[in-house]
Amino acid sequence: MNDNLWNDLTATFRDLLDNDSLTLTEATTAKDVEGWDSITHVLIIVAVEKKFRVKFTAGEIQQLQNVGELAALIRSKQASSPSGGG
Amino acid sequence: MIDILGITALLKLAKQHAPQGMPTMRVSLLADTSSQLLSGALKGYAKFFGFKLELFEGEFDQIELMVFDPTSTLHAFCPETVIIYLAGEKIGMEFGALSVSERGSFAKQFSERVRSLHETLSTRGYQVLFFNLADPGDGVFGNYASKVAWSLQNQIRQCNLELTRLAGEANDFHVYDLAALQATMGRAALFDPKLYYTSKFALTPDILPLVARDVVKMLAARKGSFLKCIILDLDNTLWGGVIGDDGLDRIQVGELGLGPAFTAFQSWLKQLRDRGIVLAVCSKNDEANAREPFLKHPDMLLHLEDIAVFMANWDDKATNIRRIKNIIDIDYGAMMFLDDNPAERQLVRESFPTMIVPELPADPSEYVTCLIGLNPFETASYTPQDAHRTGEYQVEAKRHAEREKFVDLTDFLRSLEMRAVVQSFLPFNLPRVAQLTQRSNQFNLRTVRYTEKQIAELAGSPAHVTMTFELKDRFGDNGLISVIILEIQGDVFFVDTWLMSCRVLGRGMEQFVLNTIVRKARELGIRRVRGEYIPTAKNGMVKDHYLKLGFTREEANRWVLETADYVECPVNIALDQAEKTAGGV
Repeated sequence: MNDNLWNDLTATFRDLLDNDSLTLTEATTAKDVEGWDSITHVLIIVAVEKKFRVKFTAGEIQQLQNVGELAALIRSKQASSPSGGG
Repeated sequence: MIDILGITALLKLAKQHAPQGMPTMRVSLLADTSSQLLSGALKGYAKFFGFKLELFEGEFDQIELMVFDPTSTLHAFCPETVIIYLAGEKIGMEFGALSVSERGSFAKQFSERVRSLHETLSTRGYQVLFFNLADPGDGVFGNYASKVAWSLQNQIRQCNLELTRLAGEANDFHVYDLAALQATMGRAALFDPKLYYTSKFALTPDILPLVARDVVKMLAARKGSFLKCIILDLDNTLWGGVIGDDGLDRIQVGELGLGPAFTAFQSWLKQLRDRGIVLAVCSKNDEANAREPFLKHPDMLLHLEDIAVFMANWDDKATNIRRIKNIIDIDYGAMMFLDDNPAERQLVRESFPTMIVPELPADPSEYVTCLIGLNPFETASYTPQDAHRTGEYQVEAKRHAEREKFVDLTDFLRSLEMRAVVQSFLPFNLPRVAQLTQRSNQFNLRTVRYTEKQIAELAGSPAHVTMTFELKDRFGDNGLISVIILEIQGDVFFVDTWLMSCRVLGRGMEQFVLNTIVRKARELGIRRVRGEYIPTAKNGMVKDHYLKLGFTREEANRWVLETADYVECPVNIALDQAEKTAGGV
């Protein structure tokens, strides 16, 4: 489950940023990735919500510091509503 | 084929380099919320439809500043069209900040604000494309809101009515109906509060492709790109069942079986025909069988007079479509083909790659909803004469049939008894003239698009000679079919515009027009007529227009004719003396 989530997350980022060789680590932030600006950030949030069938709150989005925290947030939302949430 | 693109694909398309020679659109986008995603979506869809969109994005929430400051970057950019998008949420907040006593005049103030913006932009010659307001809703009165004149609901609806009013009054003011999109797709599809409060995006990324598609179609329509014709299959498309097998009694139209779905489809098609879209039938059937429902079935809403060309035989559909084009001469790219049979659709798609061939749903109940969802019928103009278009093509079909009887072309032309009426641009023909400059793609030497306002200016300009040509014959009236705009440059006529409806090709109209131009030139002491050919993807047919008329080539696409050397071309078209009373040329 852990690996699948990370693979899917990476695939989502790669598609949005148009970069097939992009690799993510837990510590990756927007500053580390070319093309991840405030506009792309919105698209990432929307794409992640759709892909993983979760819904973030405005507060949660504003507090995310890195990709690792994003992954953890997805995991916790999926755990609390196994039917897929959203 | 016209599936909606996803936002990611759209944004990628926006970034791709536009190929050389792609026609451009020059647009400014002014918004009071974050507009970067909308810009990207617009650029992407423009490219999808074959246009390079040069887009200037106004500064965030600086609409009035950009418009009213003559030195602003907006005016330096000099767009063709200014798009203004005011978000319903922002309007809602402005409304809420007013005192209760002020709220009742909110729509009136909104109207004044919009008219003031429009006036300034219009004076500069820009088209204005205004998004109407998507009601944010406040639920303050529930359904009681209808009874309260100053409720947000009533005021927003009033605002939108004011926009409609202005769109009806001003030729250069157009409304993009975002409110209708919200009604169809639902508020949740358009608005995600967390995106708005954190990043000021008032439209969700996923709704942007639909918005961009339709806004770009509105812009493309002004560039001459829009649907003009629908080619229809019959069996299981216009009625349920197969007429050849089921017979008149058992085909489903009216109340029988799925009849209501097909009747609704016919009703919709009839609306389109009444508006000037040309309907043609292309069916694999014995002609007599195919015609029978139109003639005898009491529940058929479409009649033979609604069909411009009726092709029913056992030849393949590609061949029949070519025959149809021969008669009505509309670009394949301006045609839509509707057929319930996927194999026929695929054949037509492959034979005519530019034709619009939607995937019809398997359930006929969904035909109308599916097709409306594609928004195929944007247009840049409408005149009451549009409703006559079908009749004009039916007459053309008769001419074609008559032509078969003659061996010699000249004898045929003489038999038509053609007469032309020549006039200059006059108040009553302005809309039709402007429409022709916007619609005409093929027989169009320089493809200059004019608005009604610009045509009016040309009509009154002492530096220009304007001409319109109507062609009638014993079968009927073709209406206004050629437009000439000549610019006086010293002792030279420069042909700014020479366009002609393809319907009257091969009748000698070009020669008649040139005779008229030279006659006028001699009247005014003009010694030379200069013409130019500006190549586009669609006007290859007039590449050698001036060569054929006896002009001499000056440079690559420039031609000249000395009026002193010109001998009038004999034509089988007589000058209709009506022009003498109409003010002439």
